[in-house]
Amino acid sequence: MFYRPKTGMLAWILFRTTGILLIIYLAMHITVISNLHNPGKFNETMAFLGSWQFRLLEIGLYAVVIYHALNGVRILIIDFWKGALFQAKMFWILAAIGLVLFVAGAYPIFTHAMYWKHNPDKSNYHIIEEASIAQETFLAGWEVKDE
Amino acid sequence: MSDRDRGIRSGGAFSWFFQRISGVFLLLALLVHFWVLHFSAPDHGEITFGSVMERLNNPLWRAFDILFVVTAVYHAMNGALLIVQDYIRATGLRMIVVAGLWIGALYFLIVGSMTILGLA
Amino acid sequence: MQVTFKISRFDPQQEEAKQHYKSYTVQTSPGMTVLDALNEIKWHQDGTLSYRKSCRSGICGSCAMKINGINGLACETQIEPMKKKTIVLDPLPSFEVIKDLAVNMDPFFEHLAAVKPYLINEEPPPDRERLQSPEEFKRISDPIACILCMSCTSSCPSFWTDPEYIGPAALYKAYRYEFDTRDKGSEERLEALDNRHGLWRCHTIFNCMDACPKNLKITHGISLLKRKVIAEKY
Ligand code: HEM
Ligand code: SF4
Ligand code: FES
Repeated sequence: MFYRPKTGMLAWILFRTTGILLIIYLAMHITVISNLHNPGKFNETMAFLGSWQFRLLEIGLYAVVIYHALNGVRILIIDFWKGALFQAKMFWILAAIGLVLFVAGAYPIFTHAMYWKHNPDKSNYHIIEEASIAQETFLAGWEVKDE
Repeated sequence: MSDRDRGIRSGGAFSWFFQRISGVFLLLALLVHFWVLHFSAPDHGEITFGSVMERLNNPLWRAFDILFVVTAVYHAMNGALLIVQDYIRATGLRMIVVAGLWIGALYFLIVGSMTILGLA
Repeated sequence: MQVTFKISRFDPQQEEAKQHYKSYTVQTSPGMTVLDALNEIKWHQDGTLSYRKSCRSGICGSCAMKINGINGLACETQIEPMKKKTIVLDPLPSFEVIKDLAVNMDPFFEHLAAVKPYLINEEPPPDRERLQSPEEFKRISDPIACILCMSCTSSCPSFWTDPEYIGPAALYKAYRYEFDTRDKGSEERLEALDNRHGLWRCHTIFNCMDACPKNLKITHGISLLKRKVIAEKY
């Protein structure tokens, strides 16, 4: 059934979509980070995900997060103040702010991606020994806490 | 409450209110998270086991990350329940999906926390 | 100007009744409304066309329908300012179609009744009226202008997926009594409001406010109601 979307409905559809995307990302993120218990595997995974291609994808993730976060703020202003009276205007103001945040944040991500594209040999991911030492220190610290 | 609500807690005030509270926390936490791990990160944004461990050696960071994971999983789970309520109306299917979501949420809550505590 | 009206038709009495569109061409003049065009079609072109109307001046709430994809009153929508060669008319979404553009309004009024849209006050009446200050009245003057046209409730995506959701019109009516200083019925109304088919089904989508022909501040009222319930509970 077609219903012509106006600003509010558009904002909601995007909000829901980004919410679902973020759930999927959160699940993947926790899974990847859980490799921390195995330093070698963690660095291996991060070397893969740290490749410049994945770094470019990260820019997309950043856009999704910005949208969900800023529209979340819009909803909070509607819920707890009088945002309902100027929600459409607020959407476009936040869109402008979002664009600035996007460019500001996408820039470092992009330069990092380009750096790794041109200097893949500079990577430190192979230094697993150092990592293992760090893990021992970490676990030792934890055991002290436990007692 | 009607049959259709089975598989979802009744009420809704709590869910509404805490979706907002967890949202505010996530907003602040994500700001910190992005800044520390992506924008101001040294080594051209290379995150290695060593660099993560260096940070996690500080118990305050560990506490922050645990709180972060718990809040994110809560917010995601609550949001997913909201969406399920809207689109899955068959009671049986809804109960299956909600059960799946609970299992997923608990799984990621445990895996996420264990990782940060360094026990898993 | 010549305008084509593509109108959704449905006749339950026909065998194998099926929804379909039928087009009519109408010669419009400045100031002519969608309702005028419907009358023109019914009176001079096709007497079998059905739709609701009464006051033809935006006060009875009978003639709400989906006009070019968005809900509104046929009698308050002028044709020429829309600058469209074709105008599509559908019945209000999410309600059972009785015939053509007329829908079954019962669910709407059932939801409305659920919020007890009347003054509840058991105290013995004073000698004269129960007075309000102008400021107190201002808080409820907006929802009082509602003409119960159903445009808002029928435009709400939350209502589309949950017919048990009481919808923006009923919620705004509840706001009108909850924020009336003379009303003491909060507790009785709470049951209809504080549940997943009540206040908490509203996702602030704003289709209601965009559709409302009276430009009422529906979602703002719903927000104030949400805050009231939250403040009482937590
Ligand atoms: C950055 C800070 C965030 C803020 C300020 C925020 C805010 C909100 C708010 C206020 C809602 C309620 C919407 C409603 O009831 O209609 C919501 C819903 C939701 N959030 Fe977030 N959120 C944030 C981050 C996240 C993250 C990280 C995830 C995923 C892991 C997420 C997933 C969801 C989902 C799935 C919904 C349900 C969407 C819906 O009902 O349409 N949010 N968020
Ligand atoms: S609030 Fe507006 S759209 Fe809703 S029933 Fe009343 S007049 Fe119609
Ligand atoms: S005919 Fe009465 S509102 Fe349109």
